[in-house]
Amino acid sequence: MTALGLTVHHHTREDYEIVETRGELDLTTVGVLEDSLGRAARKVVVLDLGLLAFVDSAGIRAIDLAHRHLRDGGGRLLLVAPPGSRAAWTFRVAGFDAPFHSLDAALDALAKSTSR
Amino acid sequence: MRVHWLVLAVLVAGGYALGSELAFSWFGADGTNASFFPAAGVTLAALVLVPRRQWPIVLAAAGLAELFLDLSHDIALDATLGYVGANLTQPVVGAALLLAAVPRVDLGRTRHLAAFVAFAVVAGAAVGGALGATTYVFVDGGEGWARFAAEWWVGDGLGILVVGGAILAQQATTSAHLTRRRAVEGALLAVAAALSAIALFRLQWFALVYVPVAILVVLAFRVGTRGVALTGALVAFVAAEATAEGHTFWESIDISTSTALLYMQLGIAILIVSTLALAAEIAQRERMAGALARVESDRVAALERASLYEAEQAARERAGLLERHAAHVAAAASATEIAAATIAELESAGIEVAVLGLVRGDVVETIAASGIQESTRTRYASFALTETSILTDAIRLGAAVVLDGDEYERRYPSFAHVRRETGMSSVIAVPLRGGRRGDVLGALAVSSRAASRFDGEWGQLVAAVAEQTALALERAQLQVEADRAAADAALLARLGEELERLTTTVGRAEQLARTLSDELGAMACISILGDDATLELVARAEAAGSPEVDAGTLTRIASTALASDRPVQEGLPGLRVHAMTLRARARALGTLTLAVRPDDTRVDSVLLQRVATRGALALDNALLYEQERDVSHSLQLSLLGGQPAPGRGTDVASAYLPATKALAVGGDWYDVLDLPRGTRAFVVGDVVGHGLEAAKAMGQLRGAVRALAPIGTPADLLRNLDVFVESVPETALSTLAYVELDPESGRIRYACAGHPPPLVVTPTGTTRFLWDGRSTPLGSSYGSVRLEGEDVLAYDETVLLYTDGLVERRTVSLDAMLDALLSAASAAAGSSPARIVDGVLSALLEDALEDDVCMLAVRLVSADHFTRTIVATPRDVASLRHALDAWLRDLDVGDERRRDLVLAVAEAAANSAEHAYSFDGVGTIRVDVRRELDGSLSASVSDEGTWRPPVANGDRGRGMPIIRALTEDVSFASDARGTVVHMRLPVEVGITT
Repeated sequence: MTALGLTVHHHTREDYEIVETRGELDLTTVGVLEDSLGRAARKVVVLDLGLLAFVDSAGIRAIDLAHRHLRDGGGRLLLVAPPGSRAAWTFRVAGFDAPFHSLDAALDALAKSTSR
Repeated sequence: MRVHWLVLAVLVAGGYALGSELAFSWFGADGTNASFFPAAGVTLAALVLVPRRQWPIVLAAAGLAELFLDLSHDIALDATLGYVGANLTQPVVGAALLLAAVPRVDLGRTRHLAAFVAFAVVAGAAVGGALGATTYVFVDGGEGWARFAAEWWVGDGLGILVVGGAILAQQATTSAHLTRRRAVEGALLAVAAALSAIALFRLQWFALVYVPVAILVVLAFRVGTRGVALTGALVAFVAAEATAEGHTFWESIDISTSTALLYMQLGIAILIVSTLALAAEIAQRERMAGALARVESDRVAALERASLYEAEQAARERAGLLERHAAHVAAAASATEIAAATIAELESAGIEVAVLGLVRGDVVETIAASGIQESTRTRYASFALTETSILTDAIRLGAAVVLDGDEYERRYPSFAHVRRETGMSSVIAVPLRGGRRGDVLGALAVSSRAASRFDGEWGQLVAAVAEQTALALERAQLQVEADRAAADAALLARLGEELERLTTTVGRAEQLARTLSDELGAMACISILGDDATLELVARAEAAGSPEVDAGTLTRIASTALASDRPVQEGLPGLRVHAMTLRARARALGTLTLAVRPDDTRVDSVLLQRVATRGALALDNALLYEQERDVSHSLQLSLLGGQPAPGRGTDVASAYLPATKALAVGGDWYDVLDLPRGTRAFVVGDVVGHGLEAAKAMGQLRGAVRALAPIGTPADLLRNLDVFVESVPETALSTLAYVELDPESGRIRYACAGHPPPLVVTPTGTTRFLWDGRSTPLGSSYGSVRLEGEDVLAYDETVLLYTDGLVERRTVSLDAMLDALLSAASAAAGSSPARIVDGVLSALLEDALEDDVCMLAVRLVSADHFTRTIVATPRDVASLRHALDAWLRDLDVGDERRRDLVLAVAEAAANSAEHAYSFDGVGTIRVDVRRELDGSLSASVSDEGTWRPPVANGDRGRGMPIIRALTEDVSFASDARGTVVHMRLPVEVGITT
């Protein structure tokens, strides 16, 4: 386990934005994620955590706060972390609902909710 | 009147005998007939004139003369004795009465004359007459007591009046001015009176009967009592003699000779008394007139004195004014005070209008004035020296200008209104000329409503005041200059001294600002020119009462000064700002800006220039020094490579503190090597010298140690280094301590080349120095044998390596410092190596380091024990996580257990960093992880902060549930010293997804 930092990529779609993360999400890097989510061009953000090597409680806290922020602004945050991924494990350990298993699952859920 | 008794006796006896004989023989009296008896006047006059104690002499002399004469005239002895008694009693009674009435007889006074006539002439002679008549009738056998008594009375009375009066008149203070001419006139009149009396009485020219009377009256006027008395006596003698001889004009009347004599005597007596009275009256009047004249002359004299006094008073007042003025201006310190004192003094002397102007460069400044309107004063508060005015004229001419009436308006038409406003009539302007230098410092103008006031004494007075004022002004100016020069010198000296004590640019800039602010009561700013050519404010200091000014204005003015490279001065409301480029070695470093009150006279461009020159040099030196030190320091740090990597079986902490006090950075170094044979080597060394050269030498030596250490034992290494330093002379005489540790066995081998001994500290605080293996510094010409020592470290024992900067002090012995090192290390023994390093450094080092200090603390830890101390930053928490992950991987702990424990410990450490220390970067967190004999892993995370209780819904809540979810036996202990979280990870496989 070496220091990886955190890299974030944005993919802006018509109705939503996919934010893809890599590396370690901890106290030293939560600021990067917060900035990225703050810069999102859409109100609906799909955050892909599947490639993270480490997530700690600070990371979960940042995600939770971002979720509330988007919701308050009329938007949504959908989390994606496949079973077996580090993020899925941490969410479980921390007592959070499991994220969507895949990006497709998240997008399906999004489509259903918007069509409703 | 004092006369020798014998002279007195002879005079009295002679006078008496002569007077008596005249009466007997010349006037034909035989002592029994009525006769003019001059002797009675002699006795009476003598008694009146001499002191009372000489009366016996007078009486004896007169008595003997009477006795002798009477006996010689065949008068019987008993009768003679009776006449003697009568003739002595008579003057005694007369004199006694007279003197009782008037102690000092002055016949020139009517009262005295009256007393003389009443007591001496009438009363005295009456007593004498009564006694004489009694003797005549009852002793001498004569007849007719009354007639005899009357004749005696008249005869002796006339004698007393004529002779006594003539004698006593001599001491009369009658006529005030009896000049020689009057005396001659008196004598001629007396002769005329005598001749006319002779003609009257002897030749019986009756036509002349009034001549003596007239003459006596004239004498009374012209000569006074003395003349009347003497002339009266002459006339009396002539008349008495003529009558006694029978040449009498009484013949036509049928009376006897003696009766004629009696009448004549009475007439003469009345005449004499009258004229004497007249003389006395005249004298009295003359005296009155004299007194009046004296009063008048006194009055005139008094008037003259009064006017003299007034003049003198005025002169004294002017002198007093000058004196007060001199005292006041002497007490005044500044030009303004001196001017104010001058004007006030002139005002107190009744000067209505006074103006004092001083030359300041090309202008005249009115620094004090009285009696002129405010508008005029404001208009002429400052005016050009070339402007035409009475002040500038006096200054240019260097001489007084005195004008009267319309002249002023004609010469200074633009000041006509001043004359109207003040109603002045005469005016004077006097230059203020310094005595020592002769410069015209200004002028004093004074005006008055009185015309021509300044032509005389007042003009001189104003000139004198001006002179005194000028001297005082010059003195004050010289004093101000001297004070300033002294203060400037003191300020520069203080600056030099204070700046020298500091080494950093910022420190010096701050001190410069502080000192200038303090000394000058100004706000002082120092800005330094950055690499991007912008000014950065590095120091700002304000003194009590220094004006406030915003940063933008300061920057603007400072930039102006920098751009123009000249001193800039700008007046703003309520303050004045000076700015100046700080320039040293032909390089602009930044700016110095001072804000002072508008009336400040201390700060000017000259002072600013001096201060800026001194300050710039100090800042430039510090900048140069810092640049070199920064280079050395960064080179040093880059060579040292930061914190040593944690290695198996050891917990290592290091410290490198560059010297701060002087340009002494560089030369101290440490290194940690993992040797191929499974041991770890720890080195601390000190290269001779400082600065870049030393840093480079250190780099080379360090490289050599890295290359040579694997080859042999510590002693072998030193021997090989001895060879190395021969080829790299900069490294010669370097010292080092080298310790090689086998983490498996705890065995150490060590060697010290001219270096202080390493120190071992046990967990319980006991200590031991490693004194073996000592030899000389590298490349020493002594070529000593290289020795090495051995020791064994137990688990958790710590060996400290350090450079001499830690224990060498100029004022404290090495032994004492080594003792201090022992104490400090012992006190910190229980804590982590990093804590021991901190404890030792803080106990031994002073604020300012004179030398670099380098330190390594190496603790032997069990391979099954992970220990790490971090500071409260997210970065340290992350690196802890990575280190723990690596250690667990080394122990072959399975991936899932490793994952669980790493997250749990990291969460606990993050909790401490955030909640005990708020990520302050200072607080430390110690983490200990052990693999127990049963294979379980126990971990403790401890901090020394104030642990705030977790907030239920807050962020704090996140970590603990994760820890509890991942580990077992979680405990949380918090007390005043800090908080410890324990957790245990059992052997079983952890939670899997």
